[in-house]
Amino acid sequence: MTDAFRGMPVIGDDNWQEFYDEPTGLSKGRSARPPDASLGGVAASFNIPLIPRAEWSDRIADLDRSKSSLKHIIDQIGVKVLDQNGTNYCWCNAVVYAVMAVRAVMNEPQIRLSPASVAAPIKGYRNQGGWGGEALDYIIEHGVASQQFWPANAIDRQYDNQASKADRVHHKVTAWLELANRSFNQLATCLLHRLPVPIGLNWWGHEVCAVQLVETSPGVFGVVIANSWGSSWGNAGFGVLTESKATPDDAVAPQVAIASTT
Amino acid sequence: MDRRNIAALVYVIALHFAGISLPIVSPLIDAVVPSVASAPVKSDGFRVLIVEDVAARHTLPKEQEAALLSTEVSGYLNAHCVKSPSGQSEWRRLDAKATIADSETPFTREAMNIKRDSLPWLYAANGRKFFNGPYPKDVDSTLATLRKVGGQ
Repeated sequence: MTDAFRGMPVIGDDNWQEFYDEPTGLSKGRSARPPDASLGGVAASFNIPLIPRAEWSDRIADLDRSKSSLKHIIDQIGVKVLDQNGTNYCWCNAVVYAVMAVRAVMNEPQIRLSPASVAAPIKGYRNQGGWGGEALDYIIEHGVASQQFWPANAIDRQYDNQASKADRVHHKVTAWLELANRSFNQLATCLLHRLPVPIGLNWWGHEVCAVQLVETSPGVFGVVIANSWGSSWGNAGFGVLTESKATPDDAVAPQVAIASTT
Repeated sequence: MDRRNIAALVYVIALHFAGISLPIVSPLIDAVVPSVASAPVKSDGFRVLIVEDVAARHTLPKEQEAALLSTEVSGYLNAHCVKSPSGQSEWRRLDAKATIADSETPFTREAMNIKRDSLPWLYAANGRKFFNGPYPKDVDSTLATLRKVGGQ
């Protein structure tokens, strides 16, 4: 029996097997991050003071009261989850969703961005797994094209054309953080400051975008995630991971994107 | 100047004749300027730019950080700001160092160049009056400030 929190499934140590596979039986696609990997030449170490765990309950309550969590912003604007639809590009979908969330905070027009426009060139147009830092590194340098110019899951060189190149430069990330591996405290601190965090999870072989710290019962914390298995998964594509399942094996946090209406 | 400010002015004048001076007179000045003539950026309708330092959000008091990101505030802005042809409410919440693309609205591009003494900063204009100053400290004062420019 799956627990639920605000209508979302809660995935924890006692039920994770139920959620291990994508409902369609297709793959997820996260590769373990190489031990020596960092954002090539653009590393931005985590430099925010950690919010003490003792403050989390009150902070979460404050964000709920003022309706100012990132999830509140996402819901207000209606940033729908992505659907990797059989590709192995979860690691890129999570980062691209984070870019869309950052644009939502900026109140830039909601433009559906294409994970394949990033993942396919990185992987030489092969349907391969990766980790979030690879995707963010590419988006920092090249941007991400909108789905108008590159369909979300199209692993096809024909879309790497002048139109998509002209479009993608408007969707670059210009400030970001790289979190320490296995640090739930850093993840919680980012979320309490309304930063989306793509989190790589070795237990799941999957990458998702964390968008909110929640207290599922007194003193028990978890995070709301935007999955990339379409809106029929969980509650409109969102679910909750308990702390043990949400503690990331690697994580990045885009902070600022280019301000662009197109 | 509203009734409260007139009363304050009378009070200060009375203190002056009594030989007492007050060091602070800023409450007499309504931060919302009821003139478009001196507006740093003109607007043909209610438009707002919020400028913040995303990397320094953690340095803000919790109440101000909440006000900065509150969906009550953004809900007000969505309801009252002018809309682009695509229906986008014309307000932005941007990092002070954000790259501004040419596609951004002229208002946003020009308002990003307004001199700011601190962050976060709020600029709101409606073609008749404007507010240009530090971002208010909490949700209620933010909404009160915005309503003075954008209406109820």
